[in-house]
Amino acid sequence: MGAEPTISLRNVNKQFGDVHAVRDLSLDVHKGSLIGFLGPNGAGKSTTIRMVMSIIYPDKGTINVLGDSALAAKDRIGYLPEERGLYRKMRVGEYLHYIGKLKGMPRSNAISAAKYWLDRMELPKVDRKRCEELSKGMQQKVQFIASILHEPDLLILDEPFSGLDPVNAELLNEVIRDLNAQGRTIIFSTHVLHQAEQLCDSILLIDRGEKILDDTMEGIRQTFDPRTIEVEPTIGHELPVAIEGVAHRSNQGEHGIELHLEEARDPQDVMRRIMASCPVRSIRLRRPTLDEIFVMLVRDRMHETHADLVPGEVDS
Amino acid sequence: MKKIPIVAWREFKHTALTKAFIIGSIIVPILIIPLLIVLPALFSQDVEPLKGTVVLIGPDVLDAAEELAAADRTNSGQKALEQTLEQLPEGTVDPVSKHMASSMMGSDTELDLVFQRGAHDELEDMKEQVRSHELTAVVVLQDGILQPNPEVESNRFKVFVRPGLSARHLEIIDDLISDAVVETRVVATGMKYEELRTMMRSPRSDTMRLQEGGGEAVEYEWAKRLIPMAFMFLVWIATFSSGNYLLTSTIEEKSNKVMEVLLSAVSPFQLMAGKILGQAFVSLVTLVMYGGLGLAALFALSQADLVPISMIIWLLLFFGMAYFMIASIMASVGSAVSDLHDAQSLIGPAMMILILPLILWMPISEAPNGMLAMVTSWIPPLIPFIMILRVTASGDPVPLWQIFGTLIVGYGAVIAMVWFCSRIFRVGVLMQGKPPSPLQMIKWIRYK
Repeated sequence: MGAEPTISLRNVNKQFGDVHAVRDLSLDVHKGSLIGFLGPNGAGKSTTIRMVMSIIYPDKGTINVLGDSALAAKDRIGYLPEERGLYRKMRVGEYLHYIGKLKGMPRSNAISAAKYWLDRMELPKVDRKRCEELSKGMQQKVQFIASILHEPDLLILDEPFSGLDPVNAELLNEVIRDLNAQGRTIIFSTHVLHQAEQLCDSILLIDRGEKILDDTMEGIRQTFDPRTIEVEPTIGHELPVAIEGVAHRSNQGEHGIELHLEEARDPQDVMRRIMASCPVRSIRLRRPTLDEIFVMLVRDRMHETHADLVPGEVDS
Repeated sequence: MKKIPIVAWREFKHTALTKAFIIGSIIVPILIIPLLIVLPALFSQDVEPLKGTVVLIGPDVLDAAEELAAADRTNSGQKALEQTLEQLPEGTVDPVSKHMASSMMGSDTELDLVFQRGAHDELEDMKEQVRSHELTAVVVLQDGILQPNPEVESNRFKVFVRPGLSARHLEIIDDLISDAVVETRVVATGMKYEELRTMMRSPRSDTMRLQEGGGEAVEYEWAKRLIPMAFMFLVWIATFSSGNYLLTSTIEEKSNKVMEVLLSAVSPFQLMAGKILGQAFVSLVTLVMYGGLGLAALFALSQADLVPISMIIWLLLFFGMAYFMIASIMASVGSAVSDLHDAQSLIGPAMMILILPLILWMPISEAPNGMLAMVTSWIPPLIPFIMILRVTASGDPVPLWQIFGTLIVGYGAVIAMVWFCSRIFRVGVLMQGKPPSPLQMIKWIRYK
């Protein structure tokens, strides 16, 4: 990680009228990482991505991409925007060649790369079809190909799985992993957090233009202690209504009843109490999911803001 | 910058090399020319004959009316024209013009009218007979109408016809009665009407234009009048048709959401420049095609010297200016909206200004160095259209300093407009939702 980062943002600010879309954002994305870029709606993800793509420019701060200015690095970046688009009347092959040439590929390379990727993405014999003739999922795959055709060093994927059936989602997942294994840096933006959790090696979470989490998955797991116990009593037995150290319980989940611990309680101590009070088939301490961490962090910030605005109403 | 030609080629290919463009812009105009020649000939076969009875009340013009109707003189415009054309020296009129002129004059209407005398007290009964189609018309002539020098009030007649009578038939009856009144007056003085008509025939002038490089050609006044308008329309149609293509293709890229993919590969300026350049070639194709047809027609009429090479050079220079002005407006508006309906409301005010040259065509081509022409020549969006009218108009040539001055001002305005519009384009392409007001678009220019 000592090498120069693939993306480096320093104190980047971007404002649209009165809206502060990105606020003093600094971050590094290292070569070969597969990073989940997360945040609630309106958090500033798209604005940040657009600045990295040099589609728009920051009001303040510096952006360095692939060791150069964002504009100079354009041809080394692949981008799949959230809002997908194709020329409806254009033939698939022609569209891919066009995008390839715009990304600096010689025509012959663009043709052979398009052929390879259409086969790899299980889209044979569609190159002569007009884009409007394809199904939504097929269009999605064509757009993905357009973003990787020129073998970019940095790939930015905004909601790449939306609209794909499980088979195609798995195919895409496999391709993304392969590209990452080849040393390409991948930024993956999504609202489907379990996908990010499965795919990414680190997470960057922003909210209201500010970074609130930037860590590896391992680091996040260590930072956020497990606070949920999943327990499945043996048949014919029930857990006591009140267990010391348990704040509340959820409905029966996949692995039994979920017991959420009180603050500062030792999970081992609570687990011992449970086993002493009721025979169990299984009991386990569950790590918080990325969804839970996301909700917790974003909700905490909402409460803080709310407290700043109306301090008297926090406890109510 | 090597990406601009790639965008330009796609833009050109997907506009000019499509069936819609080829059919709409190339084949249809080519088909229209033979149609213009053939259609009048087809229409001429469909004129209804004029048959029936016309009752004349008042001073007696019956003999003259019967004589004129029998001679079928009132509806012989085409025959007269054909006779005139036949009398012209060999080679002065080409066969195409001859045929078109002849066709456009209308056609011979078959005439089978019977005239009767009537009395004033029978007028109401006769009106009823006209209503019931028993009579074709009733004509009531004023008492003093046959006087050699009639009062204005006396020199009138009324014609009662049924509602459905065609304008052509009404015109024939009117002309026939008018001529009958005049003939009756003339005959009453002892002169022969036919002799008088022959004497009254005006002589024709055959104007010959002495050509610059020697030789001479027949001077067609209509051609001289039409050339400035034709040139201006040529520039107008070529620029606005491509401007519209540019507008719709930009809106399409935005509404299809392909814009962001493109912007990940090219800068907004490169995209706009490529699109404008691509459509410039489409516009040039339109200009060359329509202009070429016009020139071919002039060659066919031996009138090619009416368009000297300097005129073509001015045309190209002012066409370029007009195109880049219109194209930058269209591209910036297209970038700011998501559908054509929103675009129309933004383009409306600009169109109000750009429609002015069409309205000012006549006064400017009649007085290319007049005050109106001089003033409007320096208003940037109007410069190319007004100047093309001025430099192609006959009469005193436009001073060279004005031509070069307007070229400098105009191309300066083009650079400024392209810059402003690229600032708007850069912001507009990423905007979604409600279309902006013109004021908001001006604010976008200042965005970083």
